[in-house]
Amino acid sequence: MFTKNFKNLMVLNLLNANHGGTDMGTDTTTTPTYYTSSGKECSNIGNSNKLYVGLTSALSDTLKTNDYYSKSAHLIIGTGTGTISENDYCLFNEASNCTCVSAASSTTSNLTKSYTATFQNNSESDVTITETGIMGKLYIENGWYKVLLEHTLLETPVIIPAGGTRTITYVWSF
Amino acid sequence: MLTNNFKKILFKYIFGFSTIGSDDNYPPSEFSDKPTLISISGSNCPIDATNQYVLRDIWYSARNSLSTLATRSTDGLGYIILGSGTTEPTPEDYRLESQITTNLSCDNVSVSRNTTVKTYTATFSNSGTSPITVTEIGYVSRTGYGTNPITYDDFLMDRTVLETPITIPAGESRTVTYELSF
Repeated sequence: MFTKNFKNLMVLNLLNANHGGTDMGTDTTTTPTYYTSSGKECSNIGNSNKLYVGLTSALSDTLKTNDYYSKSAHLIIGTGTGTISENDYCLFNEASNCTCVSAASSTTSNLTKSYTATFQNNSESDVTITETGIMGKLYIENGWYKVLLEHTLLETPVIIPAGGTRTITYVWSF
Repeated sequence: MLTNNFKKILFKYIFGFSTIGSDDNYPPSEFSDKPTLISISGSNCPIDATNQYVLRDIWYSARNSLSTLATRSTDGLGYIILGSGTTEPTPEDYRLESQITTNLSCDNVSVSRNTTVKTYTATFSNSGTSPITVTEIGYVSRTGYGTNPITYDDFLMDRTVLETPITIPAGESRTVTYELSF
């Protein structure tokens, strides 16, 4: 499910343009609020243009394996369960003992984008993955923050054996 | 129903274009194809997606057309059209099944927005002596495409077939409201 963060970013640039110009429009009567992965509330519309740059860069460029890079996106996995909501700003329980060891993004057709990431279980126990997410690292208000863009609860959990790896592929079709 | 024209513009912008500001001037990894839009006249119109600045201008044009409504075809703006077709819409639609142009004019438009919903309103008048029955509605963007200088054409972004037809009596007006919700 796309989060409200993602929707707000899309709406800002799709529906709030300044005719003939390159900046955001004058229809700034509503100020979207964003929630970072730590729950921090941000609402500075003055950076909306940069926000969108961050979003398009994050989703266009090669997927990253972690959150080190700004204007980037990376996949995350978790072991939590619950009811998915567009208000989600983090996974229910991100799997801290699994790390992404490789990541890539590609367009497989005109209207389909896919992201692939391989995670390694660094613990001595099997880990059952029940949720995934796309996390963007965007500039909001006064700094770079991780922003959850999508959150999915897996219909069938995936087990990563102790010391083993599993590859996750996100397919985004229009 | 949103058309492939709409999807291609949106998709290309999100995934094939990372430059909009001066401090983000580097090309994305996927920058070689030229998505083709189909105008309401049936012309194939390739977006020059190999040129990030042309693509940026196209995006601004498409974006503006979703932000500012006009009463009729105007470069860089959107407008609403009415028709009498009843065929179920598909993403491949590039025109209304049967656009109504005789004795029908758009007199007044307005746009409003809350956080995630954009509302487009247009008033149509029947100047003829017979009622006009409307069964389909389209949202059209007059978007630029191609390489500099950009050429403008009219692209159907959405086609909706009404569950309940609207009749505009002779000499009267009716107001159409579109809501684009995220």
